[in-house]
Amino acid sequence: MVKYIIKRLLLVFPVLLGVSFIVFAVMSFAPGDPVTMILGEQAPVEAREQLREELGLNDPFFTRYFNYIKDALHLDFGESYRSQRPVFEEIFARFPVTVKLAISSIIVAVLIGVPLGVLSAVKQYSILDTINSVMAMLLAAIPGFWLGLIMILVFSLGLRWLPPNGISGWTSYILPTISLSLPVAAQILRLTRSAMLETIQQDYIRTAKGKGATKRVVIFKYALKNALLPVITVIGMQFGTLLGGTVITETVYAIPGLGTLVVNAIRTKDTPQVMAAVLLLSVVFCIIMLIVDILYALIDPRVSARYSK
Amino acid sequence: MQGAALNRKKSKFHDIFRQLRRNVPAMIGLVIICLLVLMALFADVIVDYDVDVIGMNPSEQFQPPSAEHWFGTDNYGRDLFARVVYGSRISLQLGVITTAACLVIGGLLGAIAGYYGGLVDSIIMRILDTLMAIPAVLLSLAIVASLGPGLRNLMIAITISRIPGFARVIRSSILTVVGQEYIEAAKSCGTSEARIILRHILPNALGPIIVQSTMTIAQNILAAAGLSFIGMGIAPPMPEWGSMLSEAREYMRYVPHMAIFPGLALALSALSFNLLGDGLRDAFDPKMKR
Repeated sequence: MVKYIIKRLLLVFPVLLGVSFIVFAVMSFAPGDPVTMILGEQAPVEAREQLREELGLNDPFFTRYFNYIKDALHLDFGESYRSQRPVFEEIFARFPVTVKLAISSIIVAVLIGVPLGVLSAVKQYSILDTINSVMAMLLAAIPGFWLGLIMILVFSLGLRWLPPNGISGWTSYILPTISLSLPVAAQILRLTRSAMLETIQQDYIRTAKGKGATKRVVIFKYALKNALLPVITVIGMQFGTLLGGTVITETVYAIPGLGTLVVNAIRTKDTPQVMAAVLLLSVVFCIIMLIVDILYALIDPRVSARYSK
Repeated sequence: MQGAALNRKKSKFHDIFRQLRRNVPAMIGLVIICLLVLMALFADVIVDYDVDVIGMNPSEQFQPPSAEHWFGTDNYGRDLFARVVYGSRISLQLGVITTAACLVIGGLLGAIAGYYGGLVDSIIMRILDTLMAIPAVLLSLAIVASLGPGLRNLMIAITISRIPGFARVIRSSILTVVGQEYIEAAKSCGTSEARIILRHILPNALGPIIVQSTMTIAQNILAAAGLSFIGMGIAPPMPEWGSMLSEAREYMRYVPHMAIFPGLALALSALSFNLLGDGLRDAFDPKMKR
């Protein structure tokens, strides 16, 4: 198992190398001139040229990329063109907000999705199942940012219960969390339902029933544990997606998170800032997926048996 | 021989369609899709683009919904009904074309990886894993930023960010078919690779691919609207639903109807493709046959 984890951690590096190359290449095509941003429109030509040389902007693409990687290996990710400060300074100031949003959203989504999914499966074709399925269908189709707008309209502007934007205390997290979590909850609900239905038909469930185990024991001890495997993968993936996908919701609620930072950096061609943020998100995504795989092994003895060999 | 094979194939699709027709939600989805397609096709007949959709009319600013303006008017006095109708053209086009592109590129990559396996599979999958590790929204954003705004560039950005997921689905559905005995049999008969892939593997792996495509149309429509919403997709005055919502944000405190109708249109179109996709999944699933 330990060997497997080390192997997987080592595999993160080629992925990061690939990610850095793709993002660097895409950003290099972006229009805009960092020099103008740093020095302003009025700067004399000599000063511009000097700065271009200092930043290495006159070098060919591959030279620039290799220099970036060389610095990155020494943990020097450069300075933001816009703020002139080390890129991780601003990232670490804003990342906690995004992490809080993603964690609260995934918790809410799991708390709604898993129990309702199990209920739907256990009481298949009941009224409750139908209501759940319809709700899940609707929520999967409603764009999160529109839901956000409508909730601002109702709860902030209409009823004045919650702040419409910015972060001022925990109440500011309520609306963004709801608009991020509901579509995810819908997906988890549907998946839990179908995974449960599939598990319930397995032979070992029939055996357990035949042995006279009560319905509750069968559902919670045998069925749920097995049905949770695919659900956990999706929860992990969704959490990773949430961390990098809060951009639009952050814009709706004007939240100073990592998403809005990256959007602004992309808009202003602040390559070092974009690179650092995307690399961080990619590392986190890879680690989450690794944790998911480890959880898999912990829950399913069939999987852990394969690793111990 | 040929005739019998044709008949069998026909009956398989006939079977699936019969199954689908009994599925009420899927049929509702299909009807909505047909209406949307008609609306998109005849948008020019229903409304006048230059006058109603992008023509400004300051004296009619911020009108609430009425008999004359069904969905009301916006900050430039443009008729929102006309804009929503026209928006269907952009969103449907975008959803269908990006999905077709994902299908071709992702399908090719997934099929090659799944069929040949081994080193080819590893290389393709590692590249796709790398793409997947970049948050999709941010990747599309960066691509739109470097290519510039506009419908075509938005479509390229959405397609690239969706290819990995698509290729994975196609690879896994090819893998389930490749191991089957009839493929082995075809191989031992000396059937050419191209024939095996086109005649035997693809038709049998088709179910999940069709389902995935239908769902992807919905996802891509929503993703594109999201990008336009934050101003990195289709620029005004083009009536894209996402960018209409972005304009509505400023005024919704006073004129909430501006924020309601484009969103409803978005949700309805995503819903219709999801309903159809769901129904198709059931229809293709042999376990669901009764």
